[in-house]
Formats: sequence, C-alpha cells, structure tokens
Amino acid sequence: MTKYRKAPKDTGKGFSTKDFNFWYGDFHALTGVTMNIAQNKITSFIGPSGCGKSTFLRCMNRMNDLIEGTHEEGLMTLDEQDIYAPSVDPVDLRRRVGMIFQQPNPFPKSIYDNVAFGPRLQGVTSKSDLDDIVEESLRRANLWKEVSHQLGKNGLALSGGQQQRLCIARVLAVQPDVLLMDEPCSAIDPTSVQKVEDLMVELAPEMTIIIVTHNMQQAGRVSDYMAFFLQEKAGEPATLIEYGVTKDIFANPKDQRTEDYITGRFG
Amino acid sequence: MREQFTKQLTELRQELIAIYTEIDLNLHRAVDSLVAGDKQQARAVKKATRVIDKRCAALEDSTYQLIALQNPLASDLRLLQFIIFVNFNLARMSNHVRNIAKTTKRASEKQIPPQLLDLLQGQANLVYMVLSATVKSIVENDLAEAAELPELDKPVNALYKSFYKVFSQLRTEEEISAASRILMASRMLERISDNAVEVGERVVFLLTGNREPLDTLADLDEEELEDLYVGQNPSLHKGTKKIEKMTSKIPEVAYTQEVAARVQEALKLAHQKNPFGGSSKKKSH
Ligand SMILES: Nc1ncnc2c1ncn2[C@@H]1O[C@H](COP(=O)(O)OP(=O)(O)OP(=O)(O)O)[C@@H](O)[C@H]1O
Ligand SMILES: [Mg+2]
Repeated sequence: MTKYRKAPKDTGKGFSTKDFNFWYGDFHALTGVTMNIAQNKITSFIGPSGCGKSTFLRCMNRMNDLIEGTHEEGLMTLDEQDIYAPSVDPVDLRRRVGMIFQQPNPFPKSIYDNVAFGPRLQGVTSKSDLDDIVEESLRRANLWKEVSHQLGKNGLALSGGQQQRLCIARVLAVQPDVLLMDEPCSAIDPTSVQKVEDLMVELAPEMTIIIVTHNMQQAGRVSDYMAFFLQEKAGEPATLIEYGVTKDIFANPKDQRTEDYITGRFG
Repeated sequence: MREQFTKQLTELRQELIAIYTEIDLNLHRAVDSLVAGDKQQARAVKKATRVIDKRCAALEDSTYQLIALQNPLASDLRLLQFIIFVNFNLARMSNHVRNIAKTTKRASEKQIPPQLLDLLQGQANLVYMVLSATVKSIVENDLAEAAELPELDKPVNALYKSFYKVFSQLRTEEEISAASRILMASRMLERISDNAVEVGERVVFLLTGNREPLDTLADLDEEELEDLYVGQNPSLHKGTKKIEKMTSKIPEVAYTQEVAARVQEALKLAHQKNPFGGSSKKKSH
C-alpha cells in the first residue's frame, strides 16, 4: 500500500521496520509501517497533525515505553537487532538513539554540566576528558563560539535557539548513532533555524538523522529521504503513504494525498 | 491563501493559452499575407507580434513572482515550470511569425513561382495542425494528443527539405533571388512546428512528472497512458469557459486532398531538371 520511490534498501545497518504497529491502550495509532531508514542520511517525516510522526519517532528509542498501556506489534530493528527484544536495555538504546524535542529542554544547570551530564553517567570522571567532550560537542552543535566564555552560565539563561543547540550538544556528547528530532525548529528564531539546519547537514555524514517537520521548505532543504504519514479518518490508525527520495516526492508525488498535502491543499 | 494561489495559477495558465491562440491566429494572417502579397496585413501582424512579446514578458514576471512568493512544490511547481518554458517558446514562435510577415514585403518585390507558394501553403496547413494538437493537449490535459505531435511534425520537416531541394535546383539568378525569400518562410514554419513539439514534451512533464520522450508515448495504449498521470493541479481544470472561448477563434484547418494535390504537383516539378523554367512567371494572385 505504501508507495516507495527509490526508498533505501535493507542493508542490515541502521533502522528497519516491518509491518510495524503501535497502540496507546486500545487506540491503534500506527499500522503497517514498513521502511528502511538510510544510514548516515537525513530523513524527514511529514504529515498532518496527529498522523503519528512523533509516535513513530518515539518508538525508535522506546520513549513510548514510559507511557502506560502502550504496546507494539511487528518488527523494528537497529543493525538487525530487534529493539523490542527483552534483552535490549532501553536506556542503552536511548544513548545510541538520541532525541531532540520541539521545546528546548536544558536542565537547570550550567552549560558545562548540561553537556557533561551524559558522559558522567557513562562514567567519565577525568576533568580534562570532560572538558574535551564538552568543547567538542559544543563545537559540533555550532554553539561553542557563543558560549565558550560563559560555560558556567545556566543553560536556561540562553536564548531559545541557543538552548536548542545546547540540547543537541548534550545529545552529541554521548556519541549517538542516530539523532531523532521532533520539530526541532518550530520554537526558535530564523537565524537559529539556519544554524540547526547547517548543523544537521554537517552531522549527517557520520550520523543518521530523522527530523519531523511541518515546514516543507525545511524538509526540502535538509532531507535526502522523505516519509509521508497520514491518518485517513479520525479513530483509524495512521500509516506510511509514500516514502523515498525527497526531491522525487516533491517533484511528482505518486499519491494524490501526498500531492494534496505538500501543496497545502489538505482539507 | 491556497485558494488565492490556485486562482493565480489558473489565470497564468489562461494567459498562456491566450498568447498561444494569438500566435496561432497571427501565423494564419502572416502566411495569408505572404501568399497574397498583402503588405498591409503583414504590417498588422508585425505589430501584433510586438504586443505578444510584451505579454510573454509580463507572463514571465508574474510566474517568477509566484515562485518567489509561494514556494511551490509538486504539481504547483510543475505547472509554473511548464508556463515558464512554454512562454519562452511562445516568444520564439512570435519572432518566427514576425519573420514570416517580414518576408511578405521582400517577396512582394519579386515574382514568386506559384508552385513554391502552393508548397508553402501546404506546409503551413500542416503546421496549423501541429499547433492545434498542441493547444488541445494543453487545454484538455491530454497525453494522447501530445503523443501524436512527432507524427504530425514529420511531414512539416519533409516539406521543408523538399523546399530546400527545389531551391538547390534553381539555376537563374532571378529564380534564386525570389525563392530565397520563401525559403526563409518555410524555415520559420519548420521552426514553429519544432517549438510546438517541444511544448508537447513539456505537457508530458506537466502531467506525469517525467521527462518521457513523445516517441515512446506514441507506442502506449490508452490504459497505459492513463497510468502515467500523477497528482493533477486543480487549476488545470478551472476557467475552462474562458479558455474555450479563446481557442474557438482558431480556424479548423485540415490537410485537404486539394492542398495535398497541389503540394504533390509542386514536388513533381521540383524533380524535373529545370523545375520552374516553363511555369508562369506571374504570381497566381
Ligand atoms: N500519550 C498518548 N496517549 C494517547 N494517545 C496519544 C498519545 N500521544 C499521541 N496520541 C495519539 O496518537 C495519534 C498520533 O499522535 P502524534 O503525536 O504521534 O502525531 P503527530 O503526527 O506527531 O502530530 P503533530 O504534528 O501534531 O505533532 C494522535 O491521534 C494522538 O492523539
Ligand atoms: Mg508530533
């Protein structure tokens, strides 16, 4: 049913799902999602509000486990390992698969402590090692120049766009393989949006990035692949409608519903 | 916002078709003026093509403006791309029509062998048919109509080649000088037809999102063609009344047996050693 447009093949590396389904209690939120996510590329998830983009993203690092009464069916693998297998430690998974949210959520601690938080949990104690990690992570998040002279400042005292990049630095500090970003730019100013987009493109060669966005132009600018989700009727589960190379889908969507959505003609 | 955008797209498409119609009508007038030696009509055509050029320039501006303001995607973007390309081609066609009108004056100073004029009229009739099919494919969003274009264009090229052959066999200074003026018009007709075929190729892109050559489409049956269509822009089906009214002005032209016979006659003469030696030196009009 999903229309694939030169979609990534199953390489045994990175994320793959087969007929993946998800429920909140008895509400069937997602059905029949089968896709391979291209490794070290940027993939965007698009679709109208409520079509399960965030739900699916949260399934990828088992954040939904934290919600009472949820369950999944079908298969979701990371490097061929079923991430819902009993042997998988969700905390370990979340280190490998980091997440950035719409609202920046730095801890009420210093910039330094925000970034050092993950590495410390992992047992890094040497001050010089931590210094290196903090600097390197802030540099990769395109924030170092702005904060290097004030690392002791409270993270919450930064601007919204800076906070978002601080959160990215915090995730990068634990060296994840995959970065999930749920509308990371919708609450920040245009200059910061540009910085975050640049940063994504810089990170992509060595990291798989998945971004949920409502901004078609952003999806077009940054993503190599694009997945369009849709919940056709209220109360029914959403599913993956069209998936493949972003520019192909933008130029000539194969599904009329994709066409209607990306041209802003959705009811 | 979206409704406004659809309305703007509809208007741009209507203007594109309106310009196309104007070019078609003025091509008829240009060829008629040439065949009849009507210098006054030729002047009117030249003037009309200047107006067309201005409309093309304005259409180009509006199209780029919409691209800049609306960030269009999918069928919106394809339609705007289509309009830009076709508009550019229309400006070229307008220039060719003007050149045909210009030859009227130059040709009227010479005695043109009537066979050459028959040949030209025959070629023009074929070009009218190419133009009609192209407009129809645009107006009706019809792939099948676009797929016919290369077949319709073939005899136009063939006649141009014949023209050239006739020309190369002319011997006397006077004949060559007279015929060279018509040869130019024949060349313009051939170019206009090519421009129209290129437009047809873009119709395919507009409707399918693919740059499929027209020749491959010609082999497909109706059902296979149907499968090629992708998400259609609503503006492709809007404002049809106005469009119908515009395009109904284009005269129906067929390549009648009578025209074909005259073309054949001209070509037969062309294959004789001295093609126009024995013929009347007077224009038939
Ligand atoms: N914690 C939850 N409990 C129950 N239902 C939920 C929960 N979170 C989401 N849902 C439902 O699941 C469906 C998908 O929601 P989700 O948040 O994944 O959509 P989305 O595509 O991210 O939308 P948006 O673009 O608005 O963020 C919706 O019908 C929503 O109401
Ligand atoms: Mg969401």
